[in-house]
Amino acid sequence: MIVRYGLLLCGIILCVSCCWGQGTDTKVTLEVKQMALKQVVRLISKQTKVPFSYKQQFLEAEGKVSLKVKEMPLEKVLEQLFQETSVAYRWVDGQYVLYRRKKAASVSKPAPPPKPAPPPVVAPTVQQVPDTIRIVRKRRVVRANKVKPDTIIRKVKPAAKKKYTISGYITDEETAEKLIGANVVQLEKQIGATSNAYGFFSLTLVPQAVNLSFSYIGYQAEEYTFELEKDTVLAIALRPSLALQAVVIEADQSGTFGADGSYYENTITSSQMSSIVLPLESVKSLPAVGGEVDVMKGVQLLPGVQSGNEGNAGLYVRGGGPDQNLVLLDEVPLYNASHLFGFLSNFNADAINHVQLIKGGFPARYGGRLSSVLDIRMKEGNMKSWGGHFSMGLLSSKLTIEGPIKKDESSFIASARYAYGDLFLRPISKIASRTETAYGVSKDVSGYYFYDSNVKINHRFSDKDRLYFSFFSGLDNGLSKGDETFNRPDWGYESFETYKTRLVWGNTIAALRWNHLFSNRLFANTTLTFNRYKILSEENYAIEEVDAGVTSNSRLESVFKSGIRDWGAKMDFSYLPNPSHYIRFGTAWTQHLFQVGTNNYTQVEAETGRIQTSIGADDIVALEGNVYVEDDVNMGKALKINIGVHTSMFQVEKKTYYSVQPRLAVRLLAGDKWSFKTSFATMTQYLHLLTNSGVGLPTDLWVPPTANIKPQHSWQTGLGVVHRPANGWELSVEGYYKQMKNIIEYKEGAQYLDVSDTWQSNVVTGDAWSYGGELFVRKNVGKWTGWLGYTLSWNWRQSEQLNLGEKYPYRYDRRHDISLAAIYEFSERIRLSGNWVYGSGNAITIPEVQYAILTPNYSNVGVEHYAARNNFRVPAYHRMDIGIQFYKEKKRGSRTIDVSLYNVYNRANPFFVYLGPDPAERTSTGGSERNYLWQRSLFPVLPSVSYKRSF
Amino acid sequence: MIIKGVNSILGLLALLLMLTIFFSCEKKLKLEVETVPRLVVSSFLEADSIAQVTVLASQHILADREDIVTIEDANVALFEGDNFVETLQFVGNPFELNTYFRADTFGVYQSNYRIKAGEEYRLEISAEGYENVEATCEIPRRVMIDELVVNQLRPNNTTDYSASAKANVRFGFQDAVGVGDYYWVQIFRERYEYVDESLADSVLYWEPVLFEMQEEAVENLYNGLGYLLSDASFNEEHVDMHATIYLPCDEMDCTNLPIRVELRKIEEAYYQALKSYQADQATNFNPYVGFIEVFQEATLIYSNVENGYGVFAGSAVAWKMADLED
Repeated sequence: MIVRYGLLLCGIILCVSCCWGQGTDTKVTLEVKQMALKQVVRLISKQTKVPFSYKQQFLEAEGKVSLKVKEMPLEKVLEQLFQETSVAYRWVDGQYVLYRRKKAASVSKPAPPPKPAPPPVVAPTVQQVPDTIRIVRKRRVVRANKVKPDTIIRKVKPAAKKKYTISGYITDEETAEKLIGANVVQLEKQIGATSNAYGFFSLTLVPQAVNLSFSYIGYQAEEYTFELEKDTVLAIALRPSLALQAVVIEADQSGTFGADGSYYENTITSSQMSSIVLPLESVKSLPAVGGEVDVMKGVQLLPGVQSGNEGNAGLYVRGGGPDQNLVLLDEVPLYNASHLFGFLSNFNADAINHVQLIKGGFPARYGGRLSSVLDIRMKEGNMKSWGGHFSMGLLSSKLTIEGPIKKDESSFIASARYAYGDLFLRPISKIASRTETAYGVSKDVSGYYFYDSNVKINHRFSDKDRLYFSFFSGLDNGLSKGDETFNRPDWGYESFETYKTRLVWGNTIAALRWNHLFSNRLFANTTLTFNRYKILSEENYAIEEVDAGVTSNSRLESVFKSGIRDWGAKMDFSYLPNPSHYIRFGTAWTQHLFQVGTNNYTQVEAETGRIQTSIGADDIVALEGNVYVEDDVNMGKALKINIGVHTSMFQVEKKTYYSVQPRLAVRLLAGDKWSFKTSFATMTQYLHLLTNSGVGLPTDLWVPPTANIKPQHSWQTGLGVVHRPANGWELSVEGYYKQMKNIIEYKEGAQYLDVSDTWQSNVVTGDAWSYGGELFVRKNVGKWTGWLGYTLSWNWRQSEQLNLGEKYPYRYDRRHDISLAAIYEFSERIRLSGNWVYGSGNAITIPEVQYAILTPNYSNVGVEHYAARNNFRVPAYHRMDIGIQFYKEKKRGSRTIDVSLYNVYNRANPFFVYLGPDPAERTSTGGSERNYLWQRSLFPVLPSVSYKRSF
Repeated sequence: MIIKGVNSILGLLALLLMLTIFFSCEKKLKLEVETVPRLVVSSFLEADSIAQVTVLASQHILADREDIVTIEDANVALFEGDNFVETLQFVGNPFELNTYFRADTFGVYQSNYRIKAGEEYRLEISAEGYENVEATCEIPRRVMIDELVVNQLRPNNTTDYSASAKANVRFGFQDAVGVGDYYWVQIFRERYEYVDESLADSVLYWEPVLFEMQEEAVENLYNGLGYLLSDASFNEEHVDMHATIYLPCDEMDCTNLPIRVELRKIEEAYYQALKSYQADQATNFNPYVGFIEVFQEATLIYSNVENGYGVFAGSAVAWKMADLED
């Protein structure tokens, strides 16, 4: 059925693709004599309504020109107009960009290689290309081809001419950090490639004079022309350019950099839909609670993504639960991505390089979760020089250091964050808890802190081999301890009691990754991973008693352990046979060890000695594996298809589950400004998360499928359009429908905190479906930047065992969800930012009436009656935050002071809602019998300040 | 340089912290829900027993619980199939139990007519100021227990149920034809209770016994009221059930104590109602209070009464007895 639907969808798309044209040929009629070139460009722009972008001074320096054309296509007019000038032009992002032709060296043809394979490796940067490669000025090449390079190439191209591959890495010249998504374009044919997550690119062309452009905006673009006569490996180092931020145009095929330095993927040309690369620099500029920049909070500002409750860092994507997000930190899944009971995420923004969220149209390389993929890449470390950041906020302090271990060969980055709740909680609790009576003293101390640390080391053995080691550790620790003395000499009795409780939870992940270039068309990434999430709860109680001169001691210890531990291995290959195909394939295998929960009790008493008891479920071992293949296929200039299949298996307790998941994404270009997309993807998730109501308690447990709780499945389809109405603006609209099966829900009457070996009896399974539309408008350039996200959605659930089998709205079924984020650059030193969020109220269950029922055994039951599950909507959530950043260059590095105001207009947003009596109505003879509906809110208006020093 | 900056920021941080101490504020919300009171019907008919129907009224969730009122002047008409049987008479509270509400506030209506297995019944109730309500049920036929074995009593070395002794019980029955059969299993022990010397020295009273079923396909009811079974896992099969009963034999004489197993065949409505009460009571009996209460899932109370609330459902009980071996 699903396959049939996919084929039908594909057919519709192909039919639609035949009906779309490829833009219009604008004609120009103009006659000017000795007019300033700038003025002529303006006249052409006015007549054709086609925008031109250029630097004023550059065109003014070109002097005057004459031109006489009648009904001539604009492209030819420009050719003629700029023929005798140093002006080059390129159609980018809906307008012509005028720029100065690049100077290039001209050298002789390369000597034939000694062996056909492997291809010769060109030196680390293009500037160091050996003189065996002939690079010529672009202008000269163009003239030699009589301005019709395509025609000439077609004439000389034999039917089965051998092709050669240009491949290599693109890096930052200053830090040698790999550039993800950098663009390589052969300018004449406008075909190209983008660098992958490791900066690797590959482009296969017929032998010819190629004019390649390497760009990653925010960096100075480089163009090189040379004769392609053999496979060629390049190492491209692009130079960051602050000056470019002032230039209006910042677009290329792969993506753009906004004025704030954030990277934006090119959503027009990509076949991927429902995907957003988080503008990291923008997120760092936005105000945050406690001044704590959090990428998860940034992700929550995107359409289709909702937060759970106030302050919660969990993600609810298109009707899915927080367990349905595949959060990858350097390709390793993270099981619990939150600190501080879910209020903050584990990710230290200073150590992160790239964040991409995929909500639908999942490529085949991803699997294992139903609702989203959050792909987070850590920075690699500067290979050239030492540097770092130090920042301090209300909640935590952070330090990041990076630098070369061996210049240009290996580097590292290390970052650490520590939240110092302890510093305040311990003394306050100590003072508040001290109680003194005539017979003794009792006192308690409570504390809480968390930390996380990231380390990444990479070493380049050669241009073909590179090794990475990533490590992350995050831990939350809550502690309470106290003691009490009791002394009654008149009874001949005295005692001394101590207790200590500790709750610890956290993740540790490590990955060892090897990049290897088998050939210049085949890139491989092999990864070994370790992942552990643990919860530990310890209680210790001891008492020493002296009764009638006899001393006795007893001690009780209780330790609860739970968690999950994974060992994994994966291999991913990228094969680029020619510019029309980008084939990815690979496999991944993970051994899970589920520690569902054990309680160990130790009792030590003088009479009984030491008694040890262990209660709980046995550990469960499971094996999960997948194999995938996908191909990103260019079918002409307009049509691009990503087709693939992800197969997976899960083996647990002698039972094996299998799944075959077809994936399809189609993109249809309509000119340079419009792109239409559709996708279909099926997903399977074997792991279930037993979670609480979304508050993010550490009692969340990951559990495997069982005889009663089957793996979750979903399919999702979407249709969308992306439009670039003007330079720096982007508009996308998407509609989606998602169906999910075997979703677990707590059964009626279940208590969330009752997580034990009987967990299966607390949950039921059912179906879920969601549908809706998402609007995303973004402005990347200019003084004002920011975005508006709007989601209109419906999210339903249904289970035979809940709500009498009737469908009911999901708890986080928010009809409207709006996020508005804006940043205004006052000057190079001052940046103002703000965001406003609005979400329709969550659905909760509130009884409407109360009555008594006489049961069959003649006892009566007072019940509170609900018309239906999730029948009530809590008040809408809305909040505005504002912030201002003061930036100053220092002798070494810079400093930034960030002052922000959270919840500016002090909106009391619902954290939770419940029925309960009014304490004010209680009398001395008893409590009130009348209930009220109460709303508890968390954060009022909350100012914060943070200080950051880069060096 | 850094230290200088940090010092100034620390001062500012301390000031801001004083101003921004985390606190949660609470406020009352307006609850806009239906406030029209409706009739609440509780009637669990049993084959070969007289019909009893309790009629109360619902009230707004925010109303004072003391204000619950019984309906004493309702017209409660009972139909068997399409035939009118009888108008039930108000008898108040015939049970004399220590109830949650005042003992005299129960609105129990009673008939003299004995309910028949396999028949369909309909209730039509009207009362001034309330919308008329209607409900139907069908009385199932008994399913007999064909075997009962009570094993020898043995000491209970655990602290389970504060009982000093326990015994295994095995019983079997043949599931009824067709799907969607539901059962309620209870186990009782014989007990003679002193009541009123003007009537008799004592009366025979079957007291529920605390017991555990060993089968996974059963659903435990609150307060030791027994177990519910659905034939989803044993449709039309012969079923052998195993239970362990717990008895305080240190406080009573367990010698040759008669044990009675009751197998009540119940309608689906009966089953759904008991399950929802079970889930609701599990929540209400939760020892946690205050904030923790939000970590519980709400329970939807079953109702099959048109224009009102409550349940009207039927059952037929079969039982078998065996003496406990010493």
